[in-house]
Amino acid sequence: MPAFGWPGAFRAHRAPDVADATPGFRPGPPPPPRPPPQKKKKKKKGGGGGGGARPPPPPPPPPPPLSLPPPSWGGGGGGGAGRRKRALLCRRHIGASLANQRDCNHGHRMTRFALTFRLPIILWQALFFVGPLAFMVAMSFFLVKNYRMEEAFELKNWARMLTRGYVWDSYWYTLQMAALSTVTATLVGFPAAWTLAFRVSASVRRWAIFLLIIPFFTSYLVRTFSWFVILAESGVLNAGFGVAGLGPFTMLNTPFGTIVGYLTLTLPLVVILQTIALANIDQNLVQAARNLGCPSTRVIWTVVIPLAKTGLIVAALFCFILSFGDFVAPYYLGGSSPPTLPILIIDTTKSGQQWPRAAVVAVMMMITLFSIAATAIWLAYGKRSSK
Amino acid sequence: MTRVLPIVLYGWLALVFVFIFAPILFSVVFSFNSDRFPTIPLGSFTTHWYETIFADPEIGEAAINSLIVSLSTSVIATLLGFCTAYTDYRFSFRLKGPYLALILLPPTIPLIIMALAMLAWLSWIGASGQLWSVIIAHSVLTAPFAMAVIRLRLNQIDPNLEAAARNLGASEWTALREVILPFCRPAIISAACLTAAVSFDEFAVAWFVSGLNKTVPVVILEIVQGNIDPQVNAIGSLVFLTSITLVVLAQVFFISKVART
Amino acid sequence: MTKLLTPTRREMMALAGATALSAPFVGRAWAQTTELNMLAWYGHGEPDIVGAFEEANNVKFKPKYYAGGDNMLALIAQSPPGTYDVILSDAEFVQQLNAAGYIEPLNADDYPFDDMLHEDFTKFPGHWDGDTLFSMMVRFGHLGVSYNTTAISAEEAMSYKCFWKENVKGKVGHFDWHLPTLGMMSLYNGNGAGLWDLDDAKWDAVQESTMSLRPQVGGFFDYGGTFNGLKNGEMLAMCGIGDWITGVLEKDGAPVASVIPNEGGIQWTESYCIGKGSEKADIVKSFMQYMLSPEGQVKSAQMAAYPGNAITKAGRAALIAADPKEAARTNQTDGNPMDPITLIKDGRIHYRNIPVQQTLEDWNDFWSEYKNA
Repeated sequence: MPAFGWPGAFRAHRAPDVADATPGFRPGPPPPPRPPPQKKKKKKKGGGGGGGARPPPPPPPPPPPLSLPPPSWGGGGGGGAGRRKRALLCRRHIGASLANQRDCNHGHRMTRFALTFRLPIILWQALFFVGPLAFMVAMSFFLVKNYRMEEAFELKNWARMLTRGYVWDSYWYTLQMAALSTVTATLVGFPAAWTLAFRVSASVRRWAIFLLIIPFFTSYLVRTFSWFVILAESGVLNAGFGVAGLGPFTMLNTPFGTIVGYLTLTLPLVVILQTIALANIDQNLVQAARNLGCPSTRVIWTVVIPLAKTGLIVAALFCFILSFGDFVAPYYLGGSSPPTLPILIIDTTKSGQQWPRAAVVAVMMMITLFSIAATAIWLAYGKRSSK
Repeated sequence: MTRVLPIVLYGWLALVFVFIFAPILFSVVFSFNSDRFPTIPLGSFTTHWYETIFADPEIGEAAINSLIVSLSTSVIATLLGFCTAYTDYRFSFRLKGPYLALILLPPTIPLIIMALAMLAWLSWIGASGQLWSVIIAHSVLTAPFAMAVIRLRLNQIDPNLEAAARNLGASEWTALREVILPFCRPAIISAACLTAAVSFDEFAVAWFVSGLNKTVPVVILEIVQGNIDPQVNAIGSLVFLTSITLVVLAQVFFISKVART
Repeated sequence: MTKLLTPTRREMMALAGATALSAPFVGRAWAQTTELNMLAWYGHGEPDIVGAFEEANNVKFKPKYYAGGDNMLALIAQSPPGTYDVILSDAEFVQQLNAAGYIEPLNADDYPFDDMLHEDFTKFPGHWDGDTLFSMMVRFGHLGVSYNTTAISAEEAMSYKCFWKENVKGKVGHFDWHLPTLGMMSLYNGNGAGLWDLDDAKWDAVQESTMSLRPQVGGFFDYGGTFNGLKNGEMLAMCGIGDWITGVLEKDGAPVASVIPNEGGIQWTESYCIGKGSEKADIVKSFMQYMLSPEGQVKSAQMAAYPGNAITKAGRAALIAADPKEAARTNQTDGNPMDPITLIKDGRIHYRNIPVQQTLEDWNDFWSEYKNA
C-alpha cells in the first residue's frame, strides 16, 4: 500500500532499496500527535494550525511495479511523460547523497498543479492585503494640501503626532483598556470554560459552543445599542438596584461602559477558545497528577493550565487585538471620554482628511500589536513541557 | 466546599450566558416597542418598526447589496481558502511559513486599520466606492476562516486515499477532483456559509469602503450614528435570523456529512 | 465536472438572480428613474423630505450622510469628481467648496431672493463669489444652551455659565465637533461679534475656558448619541447644539429646551450646491427651487431628523397655516420677541464661520487634546 510519502513513491526508476534507506529520508515516525488547538474560526499566526495532528506513521512503501507509467511530474497534469524538472534540493536532507535527495517526497516541485494552488492566494493577498498595508505605511509620509493628499516623503506627520501629548495619552489609555479587557475576559471566561470542558457531557458542550457562536452573527452595533437601555441611569439595571435601595450608578460614558462593550465583543470568542483548549488536554496527565496525590486546586495551576497554555494564550491574544482595535465600545458606551486610538484615527480622517496622520496612528498600533502578538506566540509555543 | 463548587460553576456559566445574550434579547424585545428612544418602562407592542424597514426602499437595496457582497465574498474566499489549505496539506516548501502568514494575518490586524488601508489603497487605484471594493476587502478578511475550516477537514482525510488514487494511475488533477474535493465538500460548504455570514455582518470595512453602495451593516451604523431609531433593532433581528440560518446550514452540512463519511 | 461544483454553480445563479432583481427596483421597474447622489447632514435624503419630489419627478435620491463641514470636505475630496450631484453644505464651508472647485455656479434669478425674511439672506456671506451665486441658502437654526429643564432653570440657562453648575458635574455632554463648542466658549469669553477672529491671546483664553469645563464633561457624542444622552437623562446639558436636537426631543415629550443666552448664540445655515461635473444639474436646480417653495420650506421646518427655520416669507406663512403648533414652538411668528429673525436683527445671533486666524486643523487638534484631558 502506498505510504504517506507517496509523491516520491511513484518514481518508476527509484532504486528498490530506497525503502530501507537510512531513516532520515522518509518522513519517519513523526512525534505523537499533539492535540491541535482546534478553533472553529480563527487561526493563530503562522503555520500553527497546520502543525496540528499528523497522520500515524506510514509503513515502508513497497517498490512500485516497473511497468507503471512514470508520473507526470514536470510537464503538468496528464502529459510530459518522462520529463522531470530538476528538483530543488530539499533542506531537510542537506548533506545526504544526491540520489537520495531526489527521492525526497516533500512536494517541492513547481509543477503547474502546485502553482495553480499556490499562486492565487499569493497574488490576491499581495494585491489586496500587503498592498493596502504597505500603502498605508507609505501614506504616513505624505502631505495634505487643501484637503487633498500629495505623495511626499516627509517626516512631518510623524514628528507632529509623536510630539502631541494627546496621542500618547490616548495610546496608554488604549493599551490599559485593552489589557484590562483581556484580563477581565480571561478571568470571567475561565470558570465558564472549565465547566464546559470538564463538567458537562460532550453533546452539551457542542450545543454550548454552537450557542456561543450565535453572537458573532448578530450585529455588534445593535448589541451595543441594547446596552444603552440596560446600563442607563433610568435603565433596567438601575431599576433593579433601585428596588434593592441602592443608588443609581452611572455606568454609561465611563471606562466601565467601555469594558462592558469590549466584553460583548470578545467574551464569546474567549470562552469558545478556552473551552476547546481545556477540553483537548490529555486527561491521563491530569489523572496521573491526581493519583500522585496532588490536591485539586494545585492540579489546576500546575497541570491543567500549563497543558492548555497555548489555547489560553491565543484566546487572550485575540481578545487583546479585538479590544485594542475596536472603536464602537469606547465611542458609544464609553462616551469617547477619553478617546482611544481607533477613535483618534476616525477623528483625524473625518476632519481635514488628515489620512497621513491617521496612518501614523495606525502604524503605531500595528507595531504595538505585532510586538505583543510575537511575545504571546513565543510564550504560547515556547518551551514545550516535555511529555 | 466540593458540594458548593458545582453550583458556583454552573451559576457562573449561566451568568456568562446571560451577559452574552441579554443584549440580543433586549434588541428583539425593543424591536417591538413603540417608543422611539428606548427606555424603561416599555411602551406598547407594535410592528411599526418592521413595517418601516420593509417599506424603505433604501434598506431593501442595502439588503440586496449585502446579499451580493456576501455571496461573492464566500465564493472567492472559499476558493482562496481551499487553494491555501490544499497547498498547506499537500506541499512543503521553503517560505511556507511566510506563505501561511500571508493568509492567516488578516484577523490579527484591527478592522479599523484594515478599513483605512483598504480605502486609501482602493481609492488610489481607483477601485473604491463600488460593491466589488467591498467584495475584495471582505474576501481578504474572511479567507483565513475558510482556510481554517477546510484545513481542519483535510486533517481528517486518510492520506492513503489520494496516494491510492495516484497509484491506480490518476493524475494529480483527477485525484484532486475525485478524492479530495468530494471529501472536503462538507467543509467547503461550511466555509462558504461561514464566510458569507461573516461578510454579511461586517460593518467597519464596509462603511469606509462602500461609498454610496451601502450594505445592511452600514445602514445600521448610519442609523445608530444619525438617528437612533428602533428600526435598528428590527434590522438587527432580521440580520440575526439570516446569519443564523446560514450558520445552521453550515453546521448541518458539516456535521451530517462528517458523520456519514 | 463532479457534483461538487453544483453548489458553486447554484451560488452563481443565485448571485445572477439577485443582480437581475436589483436592477429595476420595485415600483419603478419600467420607467427610467434618475438617480441623484446627495451629500448632506443626516435626514435630508429621507422620504419625509424628498418623497413627494421623488414621486413627482421620477427621481431617486441616494444620500451619503456626514457630520460636520470638515467631514463633508473629506468625503468629497476622497471621491472621484462628479460623484455627488447635490451637496448640502454649511454656509461657512461653501467658500472652501468653491475654492477647491467642487461646485457649479448658480443662476440667481432662479431663486426667490425677493421673498427673504432678512436682508442678510439675500447676499449671505460665503455663498457669493463677487456677483456669482454658488450656493443657495435653504434653512437655518440657532445654537445656544441646551439643557434638561429639571436640572437647570430657564433663568440660569440664559448664560453659558450654567454649564459649570455643580449639579450637572459629569453630565455635560458635547456634540463631537469642535466648531460650535469653541464658538460658544468664545462667546462666553465675551468676544461677541469677533468670536471667530481670535488673536493668540484670545485663542489661549478660549482654550483655557474650554479646559476648565472638562471636569464637567460626561462624554462626546455623535448625532445619535446626542439624542440618546439627552433623552434618557444621562446628560443634563449639552454644549454645541441647539433646537435642532432638542426640538425633536421636545416633540417626543422629553424635558429639554434650548435658549439663546445673553452672551449670544450661533447660527447654522444650510445651503444647497450643485456638484461640479454633475450631469443632472437641471433636476438639482428644480429640487432646490422645490425646497425654497412654501411646500419645501414647511417640509424643512418639519423635518423628522432635525427641524430648521424657514427663510422665505411665503414659507413662514405656509408653516403657520400648516403647523401652527410648530411655528409657535419655534417662535416663527411675526411680532414674536423671540422670533429668530428678530434675534438676528438685535445682534444676539452670530453666523457660524470658520476660524479666521487659526486653521480648522488647529481647532481640531485642540479638540483632540481636550477630549484626552
